[in-house]
Amino acid sequence: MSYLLVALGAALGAAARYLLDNWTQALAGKPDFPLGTFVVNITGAFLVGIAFSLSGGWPITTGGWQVVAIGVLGGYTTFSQDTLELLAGRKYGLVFLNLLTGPAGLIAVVLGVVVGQSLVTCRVSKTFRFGAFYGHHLLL
Amino acid sequence: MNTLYVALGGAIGGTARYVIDTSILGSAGNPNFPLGMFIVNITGAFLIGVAFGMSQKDILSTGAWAFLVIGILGAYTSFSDFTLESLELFTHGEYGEVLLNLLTGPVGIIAVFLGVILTSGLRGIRDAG
Repeated sequence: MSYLLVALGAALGAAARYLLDNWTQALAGKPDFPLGTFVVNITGAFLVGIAFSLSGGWPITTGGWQVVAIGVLGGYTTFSQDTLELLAGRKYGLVFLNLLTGPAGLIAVVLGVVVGQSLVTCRVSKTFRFGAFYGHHLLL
Repeated sequence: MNTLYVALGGAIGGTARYVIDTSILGSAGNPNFPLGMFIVNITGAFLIGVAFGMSQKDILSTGAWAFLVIGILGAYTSFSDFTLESLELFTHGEYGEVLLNLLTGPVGIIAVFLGVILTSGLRGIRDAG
């Protein structure tokens, strides 16, 4: 069952990557470096950080929506497509710039974890405040 | 229509990644070195190079490219898994292994080039584009 969820998630993620990549490249005036892939990968890293916080931490490859997240975001992000695009554009010198994607992604995932954590605590405290307010008026 | 090919390929690639990653030691959640994703990303990089080399011989149509490269290989390799596992290593204090995992980048680039050279020789690199 989890395989089916991963497959569906990855299909969605891949399609989203394709559309966002094309849209970004078009918006930026078809630059000859893989800006679209970079945007996809960094946003994907950020989102997986959020998903990690919302799911409560490790392990993340157990069933349920975590599998969907792995499927969607795993299919959404990609690893070597940027190298390919630089090759196709004969921008061999820019290949080393792709090595910056790694550290940039690490920063993005940490930001995602932090933002996700604040979403979790915000939701918890809001629920508590709402429940306390409503319960207070109900009792009196 | 291409988007549909991408989605179909994505389903296959993502499942393949999940199967291989979870079956090899070091999948997400395991504090050991994420060897599974490393192998997935490097093999994917190599295959992307092969596909590129083949495309220079006009073997792949636009639809086939969308399905095989953007779809299957695009979803097979993953950057988010890589960053998540790097984060896991970091939170476990495995700083050396974080750096080791970052080698996925340069090793991946070498793998792409190897894939191109294997299918269309050094001309594949020189006459790219």
